[in-house]
Amino acid sequence: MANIYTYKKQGDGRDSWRVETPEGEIFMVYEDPTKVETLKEKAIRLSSELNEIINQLKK
Amino acid sequence: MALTINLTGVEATSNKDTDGTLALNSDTKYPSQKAVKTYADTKQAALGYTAENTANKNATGGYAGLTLFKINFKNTLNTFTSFFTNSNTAARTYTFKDADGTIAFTSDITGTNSGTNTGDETAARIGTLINGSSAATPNDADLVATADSSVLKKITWTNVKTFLKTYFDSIYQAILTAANVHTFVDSLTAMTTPVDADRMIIVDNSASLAKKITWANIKATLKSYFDTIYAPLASPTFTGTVVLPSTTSIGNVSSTEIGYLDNVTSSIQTQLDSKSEKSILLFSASLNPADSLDYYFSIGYIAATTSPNGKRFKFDTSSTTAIKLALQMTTTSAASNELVTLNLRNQTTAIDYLIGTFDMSLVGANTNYLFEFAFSHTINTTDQWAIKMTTPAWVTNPTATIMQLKLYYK
Repeated sequence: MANIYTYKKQGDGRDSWRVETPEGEIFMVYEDPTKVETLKEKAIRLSSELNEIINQLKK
Repeated sequence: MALTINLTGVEATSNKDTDGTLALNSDTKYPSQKAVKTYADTKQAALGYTAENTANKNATGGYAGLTLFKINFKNTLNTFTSFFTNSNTAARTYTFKDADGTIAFTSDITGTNSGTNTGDETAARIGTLINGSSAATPNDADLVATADSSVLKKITWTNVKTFLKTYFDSIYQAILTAANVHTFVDSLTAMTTPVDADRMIIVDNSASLAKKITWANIKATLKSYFDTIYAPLASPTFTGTVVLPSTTSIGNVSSTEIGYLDNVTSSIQTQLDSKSEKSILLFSASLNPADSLDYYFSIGYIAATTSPNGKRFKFDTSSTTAIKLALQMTTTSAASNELVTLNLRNQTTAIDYLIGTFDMSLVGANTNYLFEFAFSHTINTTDQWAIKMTTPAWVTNPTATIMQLKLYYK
């Protein structure tokens, strides 16, 4: 079973989603869990994470 | 005509017996006078009888002119044991009292060893004389015979006693008295430590006897007695009111420490328990709480969940106690001001007990905030409990909320 997401517009204008897991846990997330990452976004995220690892290795 | 016959002088001579020996021994014959006389005379002579001449007797019936008289004594074996002879010239009476033949008239006995002459005082005779005398308790003035170089002397009983006392004093212990027993005991060698086989003198009252008793028996008897009135050193049990000096210590507890008990009026443990607080620490790691839900704090550092599983705890005391609760939290984005509710939940009975409410809008972004609550409740050690947080329908939900909750109770 997949998580159940319910959108809520927060009072401060943020987007949020109520998440209910198959195990019954319920909490809020503030990034669209249903969003599909584009190749460009994925390349930027992986590059950023790689740089972070390289910086840690240099230390 | 009547016939008269005169039988005077007529006898049956055939029946007359003139035999002087009466040999027929008949009941029909009758002897003649001469035959009777002849028989009697012949018989007397045959028996050896001699006609007595009463003219020879005196007035007492004894024979006059008797000058020699002998008496022979025989024992039961019919043998001679003694002879008594005397030629009396006058009447005498002899009394034989016993086997020794005590003779009434000793003056009649003369000659050597008669007891009436010098030289007759032999040891045997004197011994016999003493033995025959009557017993008496001597008085001081009485005299006792003694031989001084074969010379007979007399000595008073007083002097005998004085002499003997001086002699006996030199060889015998004086009569025991409290004073000389004390002197005697004081003269003995002192003993420092008696051993079990050593003995002492004791008076047996029931038997009225002095007896000996071993040190082992004295100890055993005293132990039996002391066991009834004294407590043993090992594991003693005291009864009644036991008063100990103020310097008393118990094991490693000094008298000073014992003194701290002064003025204590009730159980110290109860008093300490009433003053000390216990606590339970609960957490919620970073959580984005959703609206109108029940969240349960965790014992471990993980985010609160909507399930109470793994979130329950137990109290270690049963009492009606004051409970304090401190809730510290931080968040990266403040919530709107709808009130959040806290409950103490008895998970066993599924009953909630309200602790209070709080406003998470007071928790600024990236700052710590402390909410405090106080309430009273009856807790126990048997049920399972949990802290339940019920979220409101926020306009704006808090973000990345981290909470630490500490529950104090007594």
